Amino acid sequence: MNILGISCYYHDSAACLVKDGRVVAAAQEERFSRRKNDPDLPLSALNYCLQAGDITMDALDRVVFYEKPFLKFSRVLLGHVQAWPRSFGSFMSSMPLWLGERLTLPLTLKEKTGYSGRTHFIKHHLSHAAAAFLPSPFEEAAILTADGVGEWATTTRGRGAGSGITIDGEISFPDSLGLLYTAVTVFLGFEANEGEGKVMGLASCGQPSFMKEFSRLAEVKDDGSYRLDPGMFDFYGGRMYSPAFTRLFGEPRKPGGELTDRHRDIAASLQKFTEDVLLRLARDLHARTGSRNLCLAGGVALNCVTNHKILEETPFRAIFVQPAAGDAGGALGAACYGYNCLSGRPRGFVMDNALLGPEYTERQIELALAREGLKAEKLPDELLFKRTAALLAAGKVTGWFQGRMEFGPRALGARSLLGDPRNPKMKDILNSRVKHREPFRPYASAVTAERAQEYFDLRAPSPFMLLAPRTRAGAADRIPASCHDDGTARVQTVTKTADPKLHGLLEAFGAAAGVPVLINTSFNRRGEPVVCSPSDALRVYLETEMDALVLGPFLLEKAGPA
Amino acid sequence: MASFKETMVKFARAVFVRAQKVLLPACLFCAYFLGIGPMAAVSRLARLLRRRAPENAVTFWKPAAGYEADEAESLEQS
Repeated sequence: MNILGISCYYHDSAACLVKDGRVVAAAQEERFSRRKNDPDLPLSALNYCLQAGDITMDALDRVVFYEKPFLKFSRVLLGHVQAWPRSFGSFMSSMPLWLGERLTLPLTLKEKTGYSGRTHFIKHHLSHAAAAFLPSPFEEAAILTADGVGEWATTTRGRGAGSGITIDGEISFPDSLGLLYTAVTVFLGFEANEGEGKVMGLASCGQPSFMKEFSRLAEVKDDGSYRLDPGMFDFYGGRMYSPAFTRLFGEPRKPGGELTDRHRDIAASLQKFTEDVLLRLARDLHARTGSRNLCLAGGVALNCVTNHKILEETPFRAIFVQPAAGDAGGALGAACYGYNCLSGRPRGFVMDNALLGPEYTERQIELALAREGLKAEKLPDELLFKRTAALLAAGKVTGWFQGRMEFGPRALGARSLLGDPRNPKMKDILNSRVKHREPFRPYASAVTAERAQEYFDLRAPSPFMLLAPRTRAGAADRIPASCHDDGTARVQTVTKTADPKLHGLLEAFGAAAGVPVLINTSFNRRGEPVVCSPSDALRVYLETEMDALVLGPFLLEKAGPA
Repeated sequence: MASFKETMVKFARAVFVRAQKVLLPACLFCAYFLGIGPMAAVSRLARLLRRRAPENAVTFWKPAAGYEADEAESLEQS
């Protein structure tokens, strides 16, 4: 049985194929189109999924879409009503797409792919809940989803058991923790749906001195349910925050403007407010369900600092956040729901790695190298690990391109840029040579699962880099580039079974440098999607000041000092 | 040389494409000012008359509905 899940038309569109109960492929459209957060119908990702599953559109039993378009359209129309006449521009630009494609998805699919079978639609937060629970390792679990907004819901709670999901409560638009986070993100001069992670990074540099102001933005009950003050926000008009918000917090920061302590403190207060709400929601959910396991999804679940606090400060003993917790993961949830719930088949797939994207053969890599006129050394694994570890220990910024691409926003060792965490200047080096990020943004680390506890106070494995534990005493001296200003670190734990190559490299680096830890960041330039193909990787390698690149078994080095 | 029928089809298609380019924005313009506009006025009036009263509710959670999608329900787009 073949089920295709699709998420698209908002941001970060994706496709996912479930074949006989296994998730065989999932990818975001941006990786193929090279357009960051591409919202369009994911035709390239869809074609890739079919190729990976070795099937055609005719072999699909169902296509499941990750939300209910008509329900969402009703909210969008209401938004235009509320913001009239300021909504004129967005009405004129968005309506042709709604009328032409979004409300006629089965016809659009037939026209663009030839598919004429059944197309199903499930609610946005049900897709999130399904993505969080159905591929999790738990037989039963509490489920919490939170994002900007789906059709109307912004936060839901429920429980999963066996192949069933029950959602019993929701909080609806315009009350939204995700939109609150986005409003403050925009106020701080960052881009909506893109800068939230930056604000999370900025928060680690500030003090939560604006909690009193944040308490005026929303009323929060003991059970974590909340209501935003509508006078403080302008979700309909596109500006996100109102003049009353500006009176409360002062002048907004202009994009690219100077970052002051006030901005850092607002970010820290936002982060603390978000944590407080989510901790209350999680404690209440635990009391209701009695479960020891929690599945989290929605864009808010990408907040790795909060995720770890939930593990530390609530009775939940295990947490599962799949790597594409945002809207791209809706495709995964829709496909899993189609198989397990609509088709009534039992669960049997556990998502223990994110490697669901395309992979390239040695021949394809050789052709890409030949196109660029480059020569590379082909090395056996052990020697490759040793040589790469030596390069990294010598301070070289190295690209690491191996096997299937990751699904989700994090680079987890398939399309990664690696650096030496012992060098306190490594963050600046990565920023100035390749990433060109804002200087306050911290970098994440990969560590062998066996030795993670030596450096990080982790309460659970973190295979998808979605936990940010405190660092152990002394870690700041040994791996300064891995440690954030607030004493935490975003961590990926790597096991030999999940990723033998990255694990082998970490062990080799441990032998060469004394620490089995590497800075691990996404292999891309600022503003671009993570690389997908060998050609993408070579382009970044040639156009930036990276020192070395490992493409499968091939090692390339640039001449000159590090 | 193209037949009379082919020429007419091409001509009709060209007219349709041109008309669509003008008609769609015109229809949307009318819908915005003659449809959305009055709805906005009514909505604002209603909001003035019915201000969101402070509640003494213990919770802001609402019962969830529509999350039990089965075969038939999931074929609906709303």
